[in-house]
Amino acid sequence: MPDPPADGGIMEKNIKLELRGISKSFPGVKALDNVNIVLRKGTVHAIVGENGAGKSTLMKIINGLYKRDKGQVFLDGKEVHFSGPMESSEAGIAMIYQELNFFPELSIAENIFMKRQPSKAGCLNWEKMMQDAKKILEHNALNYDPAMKIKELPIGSIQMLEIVKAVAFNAQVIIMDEPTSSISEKEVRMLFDKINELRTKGISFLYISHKMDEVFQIADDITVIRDGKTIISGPAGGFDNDSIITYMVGRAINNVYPKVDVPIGDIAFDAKNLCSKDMFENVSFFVRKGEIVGMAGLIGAGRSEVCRSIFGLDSLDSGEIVLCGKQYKPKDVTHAIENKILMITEDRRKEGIIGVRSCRENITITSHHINKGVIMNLKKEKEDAIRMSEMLKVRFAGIETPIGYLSGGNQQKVLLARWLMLESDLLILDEPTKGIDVGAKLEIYNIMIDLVKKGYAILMISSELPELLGMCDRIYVMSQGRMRGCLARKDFQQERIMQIATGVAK
Amino acid sequence: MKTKKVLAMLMAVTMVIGLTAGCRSSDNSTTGTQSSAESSSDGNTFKVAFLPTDMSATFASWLAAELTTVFETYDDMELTVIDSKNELETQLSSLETCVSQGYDYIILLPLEPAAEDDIVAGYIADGTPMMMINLDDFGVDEAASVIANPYDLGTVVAEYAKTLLPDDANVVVLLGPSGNTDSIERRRAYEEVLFADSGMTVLDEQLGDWEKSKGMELMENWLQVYGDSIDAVISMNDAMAIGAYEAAKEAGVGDDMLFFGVDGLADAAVSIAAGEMTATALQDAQVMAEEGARICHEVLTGENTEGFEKVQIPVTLITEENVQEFVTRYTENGMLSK
Amino acid sequence: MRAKPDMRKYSLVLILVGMMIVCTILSNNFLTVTNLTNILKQVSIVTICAFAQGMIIVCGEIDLSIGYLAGMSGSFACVMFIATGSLPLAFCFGLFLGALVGALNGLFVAYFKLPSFIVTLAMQTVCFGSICLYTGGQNIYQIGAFKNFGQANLFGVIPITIVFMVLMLIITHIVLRYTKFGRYLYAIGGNKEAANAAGIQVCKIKWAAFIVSGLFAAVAGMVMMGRLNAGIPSEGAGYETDAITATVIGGTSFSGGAGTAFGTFLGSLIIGVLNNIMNLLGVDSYMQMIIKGFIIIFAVLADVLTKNRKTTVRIMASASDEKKK
Repeated sequence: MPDPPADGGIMEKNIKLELRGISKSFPGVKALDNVNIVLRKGTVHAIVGENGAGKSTLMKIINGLYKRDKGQVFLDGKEVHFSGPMESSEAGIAMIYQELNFFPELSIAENIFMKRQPSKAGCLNWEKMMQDAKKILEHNALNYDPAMKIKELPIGSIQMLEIVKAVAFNAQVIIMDEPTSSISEKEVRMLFDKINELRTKGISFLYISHKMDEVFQIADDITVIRDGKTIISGPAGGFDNDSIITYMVGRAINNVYPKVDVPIGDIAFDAKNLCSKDMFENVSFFVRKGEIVGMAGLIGAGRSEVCRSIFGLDSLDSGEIVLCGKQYKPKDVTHAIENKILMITEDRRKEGIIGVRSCRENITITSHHINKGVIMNLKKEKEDAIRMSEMLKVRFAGIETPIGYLSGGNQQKVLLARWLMLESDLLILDEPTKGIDVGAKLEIYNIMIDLVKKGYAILMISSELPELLGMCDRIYVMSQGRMRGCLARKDFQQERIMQIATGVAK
Repeated sequence: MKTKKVLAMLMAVTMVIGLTAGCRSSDNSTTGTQSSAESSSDGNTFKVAFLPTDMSATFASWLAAELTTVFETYDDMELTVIDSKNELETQLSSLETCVSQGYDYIILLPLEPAAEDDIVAGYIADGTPMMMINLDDFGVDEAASVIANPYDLGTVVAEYAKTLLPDDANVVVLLGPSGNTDSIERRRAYEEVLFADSGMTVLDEQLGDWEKSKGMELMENWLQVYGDSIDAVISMNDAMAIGAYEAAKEAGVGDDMLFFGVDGLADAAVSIAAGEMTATALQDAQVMAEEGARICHEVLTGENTEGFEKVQIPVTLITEENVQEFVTRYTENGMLSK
Repeated sequence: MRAKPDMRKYSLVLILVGMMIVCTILSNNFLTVTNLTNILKQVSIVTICAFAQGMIIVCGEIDLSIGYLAGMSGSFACVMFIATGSLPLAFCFGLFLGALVGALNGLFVAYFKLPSFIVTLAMQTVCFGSICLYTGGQNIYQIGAFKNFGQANLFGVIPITIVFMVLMLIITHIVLRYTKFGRYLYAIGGNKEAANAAGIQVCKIKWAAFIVSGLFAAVAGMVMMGRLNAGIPSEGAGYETDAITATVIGGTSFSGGAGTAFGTFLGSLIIGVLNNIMNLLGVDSYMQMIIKGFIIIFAVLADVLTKNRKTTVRIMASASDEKKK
């Protein structure tokens, strides 16, 4: 029973995909509530919202992974009901997930033709598959051998391949979920070029992202979703950074970076000529008490590697480190912790949280180092864990909730709580706000400020320049494994840092 | 990557060399049964291989030890023991290797006689005489055979049990692994000798997989159900019978029941001597080894022109009357420690 | 939202109680003191093995050498007892061998990063081979007072095997719940990289875990030989897989990071009750195999279903999280 179209007939022709009044509930919670989105043909429509706002659920309803409770989806003016991703992709809707789906051990050709393998007499037609794959690759200026294993490609190229693959199989709508979260800036530019090219060919994009600057670069229209509801939708020109953030969080965040000047103390950490073969060379820097020091640079500049080797996660070949007046030589993580060097690693899921275990255990796992004896004091442990999580305002169903069930921001707070159980002379934060929504970011910044007020020395790696500019007292810039420069707060300038990082200036 | 390739190359080369070498030596030996006597006349001794089922099994290792001892008394024969680790596949490939290595005679303690018959027949036809020891389904006419019939083993104990048990006795039966020839034949003997023409009741019978712990566990459960109405435990081997006795003893009824096993090895001898088990039957590895070595020697030296001989060695009933003899014997040959 | 209690633990108790009620109806021999004692006796050895296996699986590895190791260390302990006549000495010797093999396993797995599946599989034959080499493939009989490890009764009523099992249950529970070592096992099994980045010495802990597993297997082996009143190396074979079954039914996650001593104990009891009732009813041997197989599948199915329920909780938790903002 199709409803009469809501809009006038003039726009009708240009509308590729329309969602009308979509609602979806999970047991106990309404994930989507009357969401409306209109995707025009040949445009990029950005969908922005905090984590958990319902963006992913919405995408899964479009491609049929979830069933909608209420509402309609129109494709080319006709109402559609997809029973699953296979059906939607046949209808021309391709979905590119944040975590790319590919088979690392298979060849490029096999990955392209997965589930669509050309066959001859019931058997796989390898020859044709390789030829077709080669054609597709050449057509898109991707210089790879189709027989190459896909795991040997850089992540950006794999993503590009996903898009190419979608287009090759006649996708008219491409849904992208946080496509730039794990690729380099160069790859982002390539991605945008590709999107622009396809847009002119009439292909439409639904583009989910956190990153405002990208959204403004690429989007024609923007829809803001909050708490499962459409807050506002309109042409990108009608928004600016602040207004979007206000819509997203439902309140104005006046001061995104709550930087406070804190008296700077003695040098806490001083590294000279750190070297590690093929990774970095002659890296020297220092951090003082009460200071937040940033490390800027492009992905692959060696920033994480330097920090990881200080923390004992990777090896350090040579160099001198003086920690609060004493010599320090990295050995392993246990040794680093004993010497009060602490670090939150970049990949939270891989090297941070122990997903299946409770928040309590995740918080106290390292502090057992300081308690002597074999048997633990479970009562004290629980009290400590609760105290820490209350201090950092971690939101969870209870201290016994497995940490894997928490949102990214809350996971990060638990990891902070873990280290705050210990004393610290140097706290290293590698991309502390990666994949965290705006509200939680602010809370992390506030915690950082509280810490430096207490005399902590913080070293922060971030790929988001505004964050470094907003939070740091000094910024070191690295490129190609070398320390290229250091800027004091008064000299902070985004362009200048980018010039050093890209090697244009010294 | 490179080292892997080099390694693979090396392995391939070694295999090729090994194969050609194997072929050459097999060329030498596969010249017919009669000429195998000549192949030793280069002044060498005859090479004999023994392929037991599983050297970690008590009987197989005992037989291997007895064979080794007997072969030492022959100057012109040399025995090599190659374990099959209780796997048919291993036994077959060892067999293949032995033939290609030019062994003059192969003594096989088969895992699955029926499955191995065709292969054995083929090798014999190609000129390597062979013997089935301890287990044979008589599927190969030209193979020598030295066995203690598993049916006879069952019969001896069953007949003895018949004299001890009342006609309306209640028994429980412990079987070996599913499909095992020994277990099936021994069980058949009991059926025909003991159960068929008497009023005895088999309360339950279960697979105990030859294992003592299984025998124990099953008996514990049976005692729950049937209590001391059980008159006897009929087990297809000794280990399970002894396990059942341990369970009965713990329940305080060990002396009220009879326990019959088969195999007659050290554990059973000790148990019977201690008045625990009632009786068992022995397939005597020593006699088997002596007979086997004799036939092997006669065939190799050409004394036996037919190329094979089939013998059945007698089985011995062990009861409390003659058990001491076996305890002494097992102590002497080291199967029992003093 | 309130933290949910671990339904898992209670669901196993419910399954067991349910089974026992059905068994009582099916056979009036079931609910007697001796029969229940029998069940406990029968599961005791495999349960001790399962505690060892459980700890190893919790830290994300597997130990396939447990059964043969039990057979070997138990038999060697018999040898030692026959040679010296000293029970404590024999017991210590058995433990020593267990720790030694465990240390070897751990060395290759933790420090040389070999897959535990392969290392411990290979160690099976090493264990079995070394005891057979010593005994020449013969079993060890007339073990005298050594049988007390498996046949004695504490205070004249409680079978020693059960005492050993309960002792190991308590030890495992304390280790997993109250010690740092146990906590680190969960952490390593949950996320090895993260555990390392949190300063846990992954190699050392894993190594220690295998040593503990070896010690447990040795205890199981000595109890086994005592109960059998003989040193029979081959009797250990297969205990490792039975142990895996018990731990998995008991809710230990194969991917590591989850599992409890009581869960394993319950898993083992469920199998024990199942075996017992089928024998009491005189169910055909072949039928028993089929029934047992399906029960195991259903138990794992229950495991998967319970996990799905948790996913729902997850959606609710994160959603209610957002609401509060």
